[in-house]
Amino acid sequence: MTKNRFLAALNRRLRPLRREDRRRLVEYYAEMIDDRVEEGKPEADVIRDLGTPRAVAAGMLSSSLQKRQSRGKIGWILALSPVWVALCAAYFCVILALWASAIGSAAMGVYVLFEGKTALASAFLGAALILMGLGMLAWRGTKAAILLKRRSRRARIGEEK
Amino acid sequence: MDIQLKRGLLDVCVLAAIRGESSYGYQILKTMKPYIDISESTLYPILRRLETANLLTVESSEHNGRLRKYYAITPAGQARIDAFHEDWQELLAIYRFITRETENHDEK
Repeated sequence: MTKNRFLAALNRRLRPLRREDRRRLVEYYAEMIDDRVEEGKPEADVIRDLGTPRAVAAGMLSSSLQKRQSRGKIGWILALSPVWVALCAAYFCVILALWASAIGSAAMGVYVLFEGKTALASAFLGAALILMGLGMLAWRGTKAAILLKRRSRRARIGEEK
Repeated sequence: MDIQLKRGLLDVCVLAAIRGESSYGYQILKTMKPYIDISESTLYPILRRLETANLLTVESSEHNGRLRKYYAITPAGQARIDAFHEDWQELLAIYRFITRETENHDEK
């Protein structure tokens, strides 16, 4: 194989890399080949000693693969972000609604209490307490879910290393 | 040599190869060869890592009508070698202790 064919094949197989990284790598091997040939070794022998472009590329890609994997995950999350934003917004609206109705109900209860309607007041206040409880549960549940996700992701990344 | 041990030594080895004067890739391989024989595919990630960590700098220079990359050590790179030297002074002391203890035990 000639130097140019080797480098062209190497360049092709390194396509997963960023343009800058790929260029740097190909330049490095071009330089290595030139230096060895300058010393007197036949070009064909130099190329043969380097190994196949496929093997060389595989070695280089595997070392940068870990970086790509983490970048890939971020890309996946970003891609779904409009959906996530909408879902999160809806969920928080529900929590907000629970709290708002709890406050509203409590306010009604207090107002009605001042009017002397104790039975009605206790109904409103009871409802307020229930709604407040549901709101707290939903909020705590969200926090717990986020923490669990973070912990499992950290464990997964730790294993990859 | 144990592969884990080798891996830890390679970064400092490359730095030591360029400690006196800047050097190009193939020259670094030749300098290291009597001590640790590595391939160009092993050297490349090491050079990249050392550059990212600012332990060496890269500069292109003309040679025989082509551009060649020359790697030069930085003060931080020199400090890395010094730290390695200190670590191994400590290791040697422990090694002497272990082997001396072993000899004493054999004598008994």
